[in-house]
Amino acid sequence: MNYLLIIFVGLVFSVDAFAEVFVVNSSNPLEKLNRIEIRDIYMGSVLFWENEEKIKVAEYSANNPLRQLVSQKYLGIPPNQVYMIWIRVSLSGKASPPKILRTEEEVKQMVIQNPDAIGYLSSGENLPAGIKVIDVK
Amino acid sequence: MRGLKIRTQFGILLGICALLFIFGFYLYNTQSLKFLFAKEFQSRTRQTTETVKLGLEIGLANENLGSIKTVFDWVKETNDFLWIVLFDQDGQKIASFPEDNESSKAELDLQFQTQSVSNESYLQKESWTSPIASGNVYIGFSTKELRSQEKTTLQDSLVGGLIILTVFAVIILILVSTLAQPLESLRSVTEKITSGEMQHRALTSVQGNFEVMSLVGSFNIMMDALEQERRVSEELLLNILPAKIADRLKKGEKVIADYYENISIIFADLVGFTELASKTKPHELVDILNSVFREFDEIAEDLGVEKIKTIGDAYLAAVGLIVPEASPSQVAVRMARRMIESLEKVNKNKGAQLQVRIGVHTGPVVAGVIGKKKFVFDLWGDAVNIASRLESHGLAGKIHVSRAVVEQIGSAEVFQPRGMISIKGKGDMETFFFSEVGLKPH
Repeated sequence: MNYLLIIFVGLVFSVDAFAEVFVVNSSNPLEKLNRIEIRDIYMGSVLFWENEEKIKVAEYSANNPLRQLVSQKYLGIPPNQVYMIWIRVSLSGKASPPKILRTEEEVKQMVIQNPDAIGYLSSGENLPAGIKVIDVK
Repeated sequence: MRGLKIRTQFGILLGICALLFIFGFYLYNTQSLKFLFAKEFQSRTRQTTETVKLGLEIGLANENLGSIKTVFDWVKETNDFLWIVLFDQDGQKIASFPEDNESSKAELDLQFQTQSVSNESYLQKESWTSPIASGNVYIGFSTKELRSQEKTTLQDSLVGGLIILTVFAVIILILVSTLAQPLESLRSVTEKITSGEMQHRALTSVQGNFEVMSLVGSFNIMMDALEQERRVSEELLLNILPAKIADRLKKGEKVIADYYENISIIFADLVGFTELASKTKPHELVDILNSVFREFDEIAEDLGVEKIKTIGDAYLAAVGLIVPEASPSQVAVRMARRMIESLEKVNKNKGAQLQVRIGVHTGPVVAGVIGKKKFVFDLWGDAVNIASRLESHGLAGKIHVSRAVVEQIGSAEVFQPRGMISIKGKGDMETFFFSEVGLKPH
């Protein structure tokens, strides 16, 4: 019983180790998204912004801790299953799958360079110019 | 087949051979090409499926979803692609295209095991493995293109077969010309020769196979030899029988006995021959007799008189039998005169002293050939008997004639009355000797 308690506490602490934020290009008029919208974007159900521009999704590798956190917290499934979903989307030909990036710096650069990009970072502090954090409820 | 011409028989046989060959060629060609196309189709679709599998494995291993999408986009553009279904390791469907493909993994596995390239679609299956996930990919391919390829091949083979058939037809025509034409010529000539036209020969001018042309040449040589033999036999026959009588016998007449109203019969007998025979060696006697009769024969031939036969030293001839004569008596007397003259020539040459006694009568006879063997043309009737009796009652070197002869010639001044002679069965008959006095030069 004590072991189970220790594991639970460990999980809570590991989740809370990141203060993840979703970021978009500063030129993007978007200010906030809800969790369902985040899930739909990252699982290929929503493919376009309101201005009908194609959403460019920045994603981390499956073994990235932040990716695993976000996948569980916002999508409700592990990264491997997300890949299967993206395989289905890719096969349908409706959308391009997310670009897999190795570091947060690469995510920042992608968002800065693409007005239609969206990504997430482990923290919203010390962000460079051209990126803004969106409010997720 | 037996009633057909040789070239038709050749044509039919070679045509059947050609058709069998073309059919065999067509069957072999189409079946082997169908097999090759099926193999090539299976290989191509397998390669496509393996490419998708590798794309999935590499894409997932590198977490490069973009490359997976590229592979998916590519496979959808391939010619024979129909659909694709991906399953995970638990047999759960991950994705499909088109998305409404409801086939389960079990159904696809069953289809995979029982399928054939002759079906409308053909299924390929591959398993894929990656650090993220593993499973199976099934891709369905249309065999429509394969069928179209096979159809085109069938048509091409048909055209090829027709071209070969045309070439065969030309070869057959050439073969028929070179082989059948000389044989047909040979057959045609044989038929003509069989019908009696012995002068015909097979054509050697036509183009033909060496052996066939040798056969034609040998045939012609054989026919020349036969024709030579036939002429010798014909001449021999004509020496025995008049040409018209010989023709009738050859055409199958068994008995020839024709009645002639106005025929002059010449009966000649050598006087002194019996005495000569007793003093002369047989071969010398025959030589003298031969010389005499040869002279008589030449005169007969010259005057158109028909020699009938010789009986010992007697010579029988007739005028008006084969070549009709208005006054056969005149020709007969002319013949008799020349016979007497010719004997003087023989006597001089052979040192003999022969004379001839001649009887001539004109009247109706029956002439012909009777019996079964050793045919001889002969005369029958009272006129023959009278001529014989005139000869036997005549004088050496004289032409003893009947009143019928005198009346037919119409120049009484050239005949001297002999008196009455008794003819067996006819009674007494007035006869005459021919006299040179008052005779016109002949």
